[in-house]
Amino acid sequence: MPQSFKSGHIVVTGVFLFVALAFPFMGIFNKPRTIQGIPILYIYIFTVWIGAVGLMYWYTLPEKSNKPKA
Amino acid sequence: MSSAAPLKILVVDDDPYILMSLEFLMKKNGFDVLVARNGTEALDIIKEQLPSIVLLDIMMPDVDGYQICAYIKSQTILNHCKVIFLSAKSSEADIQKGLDLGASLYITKPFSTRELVKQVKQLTADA
Amino acid sequence: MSEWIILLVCLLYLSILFVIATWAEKRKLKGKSVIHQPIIYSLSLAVYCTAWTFYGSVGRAASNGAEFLAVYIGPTIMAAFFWPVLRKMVRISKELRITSLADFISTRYGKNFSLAIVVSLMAMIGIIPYIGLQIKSISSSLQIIMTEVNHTPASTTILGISITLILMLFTILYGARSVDTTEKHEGLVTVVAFESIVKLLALLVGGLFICYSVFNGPLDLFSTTSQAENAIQKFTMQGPSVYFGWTAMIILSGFAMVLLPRQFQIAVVENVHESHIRSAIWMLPLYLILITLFVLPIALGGSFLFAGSGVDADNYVLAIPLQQSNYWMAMITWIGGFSAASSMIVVEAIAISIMVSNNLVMPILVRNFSREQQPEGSFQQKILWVRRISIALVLILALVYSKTIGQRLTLVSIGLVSFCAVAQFAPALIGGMFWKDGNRNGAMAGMITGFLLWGYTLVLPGAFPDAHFVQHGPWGIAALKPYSLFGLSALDPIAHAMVWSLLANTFLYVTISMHTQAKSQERFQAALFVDVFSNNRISNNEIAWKGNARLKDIQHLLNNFLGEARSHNLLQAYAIRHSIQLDADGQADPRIVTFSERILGGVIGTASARILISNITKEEEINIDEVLNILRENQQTLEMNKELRKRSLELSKATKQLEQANTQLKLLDEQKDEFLYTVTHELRTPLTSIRALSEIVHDNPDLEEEQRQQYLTAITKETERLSHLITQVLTLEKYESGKYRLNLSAINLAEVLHHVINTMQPLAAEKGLQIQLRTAETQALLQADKELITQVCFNLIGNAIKFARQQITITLLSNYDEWQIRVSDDGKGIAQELQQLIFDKFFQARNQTLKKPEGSGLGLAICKEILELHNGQIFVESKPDEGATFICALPA
Repeated sequence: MPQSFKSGHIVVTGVFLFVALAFPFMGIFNKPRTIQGIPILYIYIFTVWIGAVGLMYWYTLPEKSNKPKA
Repeated sequence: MSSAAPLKILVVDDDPYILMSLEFLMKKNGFDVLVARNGTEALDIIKEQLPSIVLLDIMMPDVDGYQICAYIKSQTILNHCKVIFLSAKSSEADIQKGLDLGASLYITKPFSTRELVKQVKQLTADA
Repeated sequence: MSEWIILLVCLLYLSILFVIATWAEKRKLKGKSVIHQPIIYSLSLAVYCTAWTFYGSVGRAASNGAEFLAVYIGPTIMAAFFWPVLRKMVRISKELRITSLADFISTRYGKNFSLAIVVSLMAMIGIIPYIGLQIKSISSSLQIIMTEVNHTPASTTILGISITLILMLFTILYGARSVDTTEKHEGLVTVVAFESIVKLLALLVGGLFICYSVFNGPLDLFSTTSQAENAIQKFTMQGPSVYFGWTAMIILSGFAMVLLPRQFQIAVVENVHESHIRSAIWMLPLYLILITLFVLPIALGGSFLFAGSGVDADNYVLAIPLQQSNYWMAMITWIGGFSAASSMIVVEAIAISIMVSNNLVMPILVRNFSREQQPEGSFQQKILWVRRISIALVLILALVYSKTIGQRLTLVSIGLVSFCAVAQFAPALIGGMFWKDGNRNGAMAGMITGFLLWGYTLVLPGAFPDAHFVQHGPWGIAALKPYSLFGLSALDPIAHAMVWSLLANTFLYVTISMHTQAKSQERFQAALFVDVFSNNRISNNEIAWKGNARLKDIQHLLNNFLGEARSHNLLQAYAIRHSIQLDADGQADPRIVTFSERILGGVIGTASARILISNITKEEEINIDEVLNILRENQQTLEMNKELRKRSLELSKATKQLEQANTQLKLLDEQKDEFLYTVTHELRTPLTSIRALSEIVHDNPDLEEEQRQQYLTAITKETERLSHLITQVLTLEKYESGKYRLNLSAINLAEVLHHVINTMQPLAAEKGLQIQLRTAETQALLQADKELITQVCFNLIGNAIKFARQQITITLLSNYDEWQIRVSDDGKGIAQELQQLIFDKFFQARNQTLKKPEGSGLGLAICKEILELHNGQIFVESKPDEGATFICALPA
């Protein structure tokens, strides 16, 4: 029995990442605008990407292994 | 105590320390002490030496005390032999079972050595 | 800085690689394997980042903005699917000893030989140009540095060729070490991981250099460069063609993450433990984020610095430090690019060469294989040489390509072209893992069609961009124009090729599979693949082979490929494990035949192993009904179980719960009573001795001193026994009540075992016992409560010491996703009917006939509780008079 973690949640995160970084959604930020000189599309992609990887890390942590005794 | 040959007493227990203390006590009180560390050994000694008294533990690796008591009571040649159970089994049912098998006494562990010596002496005096 | 310093640095770096590889191989021999660390696995997966990351992606970012990121986002999405997909690939490959993509696909579809050849050829054609371009990147980047340093154009042809030859030597040395390809290439993997660190650091350092030494920090860089004309305009993606291109790149690169031969090699073949995949899920994407972080700043900085100067954007990583006359910085980034290229070249060459040697060359060698045994080791040498020559051949082809056709192409396009080629494996490979009805015909038709379409829509027009058929379609038929097949013109070439080839591939795979019948062997393999995780899976040991084979022939065969000692050991071990009699002059058990085929498969590939086995045995075609029966029985039990479970749940959920609660309470009550009864009984025995002995000492002041001492010692001992018993009862109560909170930390089982064994050694020595620890694991890491696990080890080894006659053997091994500690003694063993009971509390006491004076009778019950707290289990294997083995399984 492997120590369980949320592998299903990770798959969902992957799907979410795909949807968020494909058109039409990405179109929202696909504008020639910048913040402090940094293009917003670039900021958007990295934010979503880093966020998703953070979530994936979070979900690989072991679930609480102290199961209640019957 | 009469001047006749000392009475043979057999002590049966699988715990070495209990055996050690019983052996000492009985020797000190003038008995001819035989010891057995398990049921089989006990049966062999009983058949050969025909002891007068058997101090018998119940829970043992091979043959348990109840079986030994039943054997003694089934042999006419051992009519004189008295059985005293010394056991950690302390429920009513266990005690009753022991007495039903024909034992003279059932003493639960842990016991007082002084009390035990007294009881044994009394039993031999009755004989 | 002069030319020879550059050469020196280059040579120094190469020799570091050799040193690291040798070091890692030596560590493995000492049992201190380096690659047992999850981080090494994740880092080696980053072999995905090639020289393109250094050069091509910067160029792409300078011209197309964020588009290059797709190639790194795709693998991140694939990483999210690692657990269901990659882990299944790893499990299947380990169980069936699969060592290449071609093996994987051909094994799934009935060990089909032609499929293996097709996959190998596709991989070769698709990948060799890609390797060629990496070689080209090495010499062209070197040329840039040399030219700048000497201020005259330099020729680096000879240098480029010699570096390639050194890499070839390295690959042969560390990639073709042993005939058994299922063995890990420790040195190689370590070097790949090392190079991943080097390339990441180089790009980070280069990026920081540009941000801080050329500009005043990243914000300054962005605000300065964004003033420039068009700079930001480039940063939007415009038009459906770019949208689709972006999405296509994400999909292709996602597949490439696991389907490129080098990725398959590292991710699947070199995987040492499935738990490493779990860390890779986030470590690999994190790596990709870090390595892409500075690509855009470098591109923007370069565009700004070199505006209008004609410097190729692909070379900004080198050109910027050179322009600043910081040659050392240029050297650092060059090393980064070189490390990226070299690790790619080496691993890709090995992966391809295994396919070439096992599927294209070996069958010819093997076809004329005689039954007679050849001189020891001669065939093994032959196999190694085939593999070495294959490596050389692959690299020479790549070199030739880079010096001829490759001169005209840029890095990026060829990388994506290769991605698109390996994506053709996706339907057959991934479909085959999840869909039992996918069959050989479908896979073959899909892959070949997809591959031909790939060639027609991507390779041909890429190679002859100005040809008439490219511009106007063959015979002037516009609908057949390669870049806009059937009028599909809204897509960029990569997306266009992907859409057509993958669509046709998947469509043919699915429809043909649905309309044709698979052969019996194939159905069996399909079930092995798809159900690899299922509880009711068909085990490998079930027989899907019928025929006659002499054991002698099988032995000779294995001897030739593995050497006599090794094959003897393997067969013996297998026979013992499955209680098979090995009759030297008789028939071989069918299980032995299938097992041998699997072992051979690890050496020469599944398809060649199939040929060999069928050559030396008289096979009977296994009846389709027989295979169907095996499959159906499995299916039926599975379904029956499901059905039963469902019904009983529906019917009696409520009543059952009530009943359950009731009986549970009663049971608990009874258990409690019995427990108390047994505890008091167990307490009475030592109490009796203590009381009796102390009364004797008290009543007999005239006791001899020696005897007095003896009695007092006995009293102390019994008191200790008593307090030990009480502690154990309390401990057990604590675990059972569920109140105990595990104090989890990362512990190393190997260390724990060493510690316990060292402590117990004197006790064992006193009884004349040998304790032996057998393990190859040095990093048996898991999350657990160290104190408790240590206690389990003490209890088990303590027990073994009580019962062993001469020898205690402790084995630590990893079994898929769990660690196993096996403690064996050579005592009198435990009767079958008692093997369950011994883990009950006070089992010894309640079974009078087995009463032992030693121990409380709670040790094993405590072990069981501790393991259950860790979601593990404990059980015993024993045959009377042959000793007992206690096995603890802990999830890794």
